[in-house]
Amino acid sequence: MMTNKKIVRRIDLALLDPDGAFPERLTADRAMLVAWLGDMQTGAPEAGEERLKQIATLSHRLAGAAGTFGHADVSDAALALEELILERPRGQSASAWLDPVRQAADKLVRTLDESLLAER
Amino acid sequence: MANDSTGLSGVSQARILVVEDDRDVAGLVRRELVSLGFTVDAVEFAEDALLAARDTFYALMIIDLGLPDRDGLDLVREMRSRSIEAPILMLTARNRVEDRVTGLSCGADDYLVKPFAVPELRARVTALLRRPSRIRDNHLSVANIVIDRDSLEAVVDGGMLPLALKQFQLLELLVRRKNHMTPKRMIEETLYGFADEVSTNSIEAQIYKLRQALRAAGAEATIETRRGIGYRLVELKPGAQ
Repeated sequence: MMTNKKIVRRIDLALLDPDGAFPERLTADRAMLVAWLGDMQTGAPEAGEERLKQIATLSHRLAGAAGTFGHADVSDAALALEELILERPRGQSASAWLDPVRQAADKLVRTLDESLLAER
Repeated sequence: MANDSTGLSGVSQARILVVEDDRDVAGLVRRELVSLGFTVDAVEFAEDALLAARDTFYALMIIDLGLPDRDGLDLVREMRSRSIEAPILMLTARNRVEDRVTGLSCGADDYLVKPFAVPELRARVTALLRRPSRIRDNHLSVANIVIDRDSLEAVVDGGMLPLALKQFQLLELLVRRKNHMTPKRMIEETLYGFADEVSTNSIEAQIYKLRQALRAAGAEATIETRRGIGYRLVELKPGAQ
């Protein structure tokens, strides 16, 4: 049974996203994030740099958009990932920064999954 | 129509430019503004924004800091350098003080940090549209004349213009209205309060003194008179001095 809090949240989200399209964006972003992380693990170092930039851009945009559309947890996790990528020490390769990035990205993926589950 | 509870009635026909590459956020902002009665143009790229602002009068521009083709701060700077004077609300996901300060010093009028709550967006839009737009920029220039509203100083080619306060205010008004005729009554209303006594030729006298000062300093702009209508500051053509 839905709690009052959950019902109110549904109404808020419906006002923000009348077409209900935002979860599709979350799903698409999740898929891209997972694919790019995979590329970083298996690809060439140059590709890793490119992927890291793409992950930073995706998390930057997601941090802004998800929070605005009522997904505060996703926004926080995306911001944490973006900040971690920006904190990479100068001169350190993308592959050397992969472990902490993966941890933060895994957390974002989990949060996305929870948010998407709550939408159903 | 505009919703009266927002205080936006009377500006419902205003047109707003939204420059935001995140389509979900742009769509949300557009929906909100349209529901308030505004006409909204939304673009994703800085170059498109420049083209749009060149050809259209916007009451407000909402510009995201992170655009795909160019930094939003550069766009704000370029808008201002092209004398596009519409108020600018910066949208930023960067909640660092230095980013906000940089944005404001580049010529933005306010900022909104993403994620944002829709009522806050409405409130900031409302507040910006209430401001008299021409009182925003404190650094103005025409030809080689630069005026600084903060320090009340006017400079021509690096040399300070020796202006009394009324002459400075007059110059500021003419610079803000460059190339447009400024009626005498508007000058009176700008320079003098209700309690001030204004003689019949006081505006002419101030114009005369300002003209002399500009000419003596080698200003590359002059004040034209249209008898019975008003005054206009125009740039001199090369070699016309």
